[in-house]
Amino acid sequence: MIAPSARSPVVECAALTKVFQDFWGRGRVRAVDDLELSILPGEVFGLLGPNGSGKTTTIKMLLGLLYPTRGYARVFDRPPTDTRVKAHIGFMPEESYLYRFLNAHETLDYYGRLFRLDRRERRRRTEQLIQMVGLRGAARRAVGEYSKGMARRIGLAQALINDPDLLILDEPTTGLDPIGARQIKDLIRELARRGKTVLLCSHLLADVEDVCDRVAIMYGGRRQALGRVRDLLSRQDVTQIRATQLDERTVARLRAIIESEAGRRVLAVEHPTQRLEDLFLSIVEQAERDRLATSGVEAARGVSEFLSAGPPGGGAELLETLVAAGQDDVSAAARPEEAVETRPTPVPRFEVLEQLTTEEHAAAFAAPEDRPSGPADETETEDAGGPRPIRLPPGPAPRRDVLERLTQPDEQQSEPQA
Amino acid sequence: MWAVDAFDVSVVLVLALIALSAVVIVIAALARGGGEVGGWEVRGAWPRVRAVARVTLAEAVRMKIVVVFLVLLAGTLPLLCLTARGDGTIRGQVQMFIGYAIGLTGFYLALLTIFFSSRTLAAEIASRQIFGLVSKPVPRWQILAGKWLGIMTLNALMVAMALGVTYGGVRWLVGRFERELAAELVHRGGLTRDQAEGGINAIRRPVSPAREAATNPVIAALAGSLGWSDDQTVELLLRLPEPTRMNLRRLNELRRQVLVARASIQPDAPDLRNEVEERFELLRQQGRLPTSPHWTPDKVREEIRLSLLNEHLSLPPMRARQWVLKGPPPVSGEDRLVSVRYKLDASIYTGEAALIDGSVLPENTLATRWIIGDPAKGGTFGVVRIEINRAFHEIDVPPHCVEPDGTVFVRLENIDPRRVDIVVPLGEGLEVLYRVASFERNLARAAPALLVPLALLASFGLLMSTFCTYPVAAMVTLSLFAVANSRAFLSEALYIAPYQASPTTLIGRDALRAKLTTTLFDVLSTGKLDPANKTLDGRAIGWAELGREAGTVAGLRGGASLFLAVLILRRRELAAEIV
Repeated sequence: MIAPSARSPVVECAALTKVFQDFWGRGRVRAVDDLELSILPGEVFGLLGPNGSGKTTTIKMLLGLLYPTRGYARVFDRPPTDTRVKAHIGFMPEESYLYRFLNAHETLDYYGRLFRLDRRERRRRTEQLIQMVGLRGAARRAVGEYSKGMARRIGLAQALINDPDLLILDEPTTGLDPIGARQIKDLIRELARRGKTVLLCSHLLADVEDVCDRVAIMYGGRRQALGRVRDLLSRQDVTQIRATQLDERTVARLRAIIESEAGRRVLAVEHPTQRLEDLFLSIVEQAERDRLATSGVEAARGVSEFLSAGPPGGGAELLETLVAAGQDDVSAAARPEEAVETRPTPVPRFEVLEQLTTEEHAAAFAAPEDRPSGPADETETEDAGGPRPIRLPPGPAPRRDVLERLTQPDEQQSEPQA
Repeated sequence: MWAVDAFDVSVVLVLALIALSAVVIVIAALARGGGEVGGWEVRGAWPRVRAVARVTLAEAVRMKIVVVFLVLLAGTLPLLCLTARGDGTIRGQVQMFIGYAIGLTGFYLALLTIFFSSRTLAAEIASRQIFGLVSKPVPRWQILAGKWLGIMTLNALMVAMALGVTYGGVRWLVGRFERELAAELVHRGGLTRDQAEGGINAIRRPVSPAREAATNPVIAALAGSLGWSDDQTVELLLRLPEPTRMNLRRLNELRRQVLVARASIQPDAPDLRNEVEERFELLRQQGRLPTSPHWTPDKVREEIRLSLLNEHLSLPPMRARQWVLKGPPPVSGEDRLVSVRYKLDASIYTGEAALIDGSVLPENTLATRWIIGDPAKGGTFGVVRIEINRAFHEIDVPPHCVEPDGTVFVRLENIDPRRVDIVVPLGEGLEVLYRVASFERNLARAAPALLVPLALLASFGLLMSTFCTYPVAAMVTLSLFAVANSRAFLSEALYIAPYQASPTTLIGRDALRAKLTTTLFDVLSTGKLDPANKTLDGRAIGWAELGREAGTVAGLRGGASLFLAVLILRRRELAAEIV
């Protein structure tokens, strides 16, 4: 039996490539291209991407259902087709691939036997799992009669029957009602707390954002982004100050300070809504703009040219769209290196943005100053109601006096200081 | 001269196609990396194999496949029982029912096995249910073993049920006949019901052969049961109408010749090599050997052998022949029932003939005299028979005519006044039969005999389904079954080898053709056991024979198919789509 060692990666992929061939051996579909991935024990890892980006193909290679064309994958430091490895894996597939003629009890009992559990243990786990997934009432009905949600629940139960060290979930919350989805998320968190490793594959970005420690985003079979969720979702070129509810006057004063004294633009004053979904879409858009190859679905893009109103615009119109997009169009190149590994993209067209800045802004950009220490610490400790600390870009740093102004208590303010 | 004909061209094309496909498949499989790693451990395999077998059995039962075949069998067998006629006699009825019942069971179950074994794995792969199985620590050979075991368990249950119904049907048929016969004895013979039933039962039990030798088995049985003397019993029989007496005799035959398991000893085929050489030498000396190049010395010898064989086997009018058969092994204690069974062949159709005493020899009959026992010792048993030509007949041999070491002397005299040659064919022409087991035991042995070809079909179906879809796998396996079952017909249709020629005499193209096709048929064969014919004929299915067939058919060929299936399944990318 294999004992997974403490800190060696549970899953490791290096240059993992899968090219599907047709009957005559010609390469037809490059489903996974040069994938590098490493999942450490105890973490919850999310694999995201649009349809056809290679997520499920990767998972199938990790389970030994497909063999790589190039590169390799290793699970618990062994090839995925090694049968001994499977004793530690639980797999919940996207569709219900269960035997229609068995009922829930018999299904779990069957899989329990395959893991060579003795009768008592099998019975105990079966009862507990059926209870956990809420199928007690339907436990003696044939699985073929189940609704989709019920089938997915039993699919989850069979993935857990062997108390796996690595749980692979393909679209776990699809087909489940919100209660079921919440249950799964809680379960994932609980398993992670117990030291299990979870590999999660999903389209439902909100769910991934809630539970995952790290995510990888795939497009066209290649990994486009990888990193901690928190890091990926943070934006370094924008400073977000989260305060408890401010009145209009304070907001106006802040705006004046930022614009006139600090010489920066106020992008938006609103209640924070950034979600993973935006990041996801922006990456896909970037990839499409860069005309990266994909064998999957391409995101729908607006209206066809001949159908949209007005002639196609030049530079000014481009500016309008870019500015009006607000939080869209993040420059991938602006992110700091150490927190995130991103595919090096070709020259971004967002250089247009830089050209649009005024002279004085250009000066500020050109002369980076040292990071202020004192006020920055103070700033970071101001934490009423749990907003995130302010992160400052290492490049052009805001001026100290501006920060002091911002953090000085105003007579008009009624909120308590931290 | 080897003139190429359509047969040769098609054989070459087919073989080339198969070879090419095999090469392409093997190269493609080896070129692609991957495949199952490890998994060959046998320890701990049994619980998993058993689990897969259980689910396979559940699949068959719950997916209603089994129900269809159950209905077929359960519906057809009783129907057969009710409508079986045969030649109108009880013996014919029972034989027809047994033959068809076992034959149909074998056929239906072969179809069930073919379709189910082709489907179970292929459908699981196509519907991706196999993902759930393969993501568990189950080596792929255990999956195949489990499926095979599940299929064979299903077959075993169905065979047991079918044989049970067959046995029930036989008992019902015979029971009905016996009840009618008992009623006849009561009404026409004046016996009480108990006496009649007792008498019928007595015919069922094989009475001491010594007793039977003195008189007629029927008389002996009835006399013994009723406690009467032989004369009294004969009087009773004379009171009965002729059909009833016939029925009594037929019941006796049924009990002794059909509902029983008997082993057979046949005379060896004569070794004529010396005679052939002598004749050949003679012809050569006389300069009468054929000169055409077509007639090689081997061919000439074969012709000589054939004609000598014919001479040997035929009995001219007013001639006799003696056989010494190494009979059954001696048994101490109980008497053993031995009989001589024969099927003679008159060279021409015998018309009616009148004898000098005014009696008439019916048409299509042969008049023969049989003398059984060592003539040197005296005390032989002789009987004259006038019987239908080309039919099986039996003579019960009194025990004192069987030598202590089991040897049986049989002498046949051709006394037919119509002056015909009688041919005693090889094989079924003459044999000594002796009882080794009961009908019930034989029927029980028919079960493994039926299962052996099913095991091969299951293995082959599983092999096909590892790389084909269900319909293709089913079709190929069905073709195998069809070819294996039509061997005789196909041999004749393709004119593979001239009748009765020994392989050594064929030369060149004919030899190659014969060798190729016989090898193909041997490989594809589903076995030579024929439980239907054996059981209806009252012949024992021997353990040695059973073991041999099980070893070669199910063990060797079935095992090879399964092994190949394992190799293929291990390499297969189960998630790759086959378009």
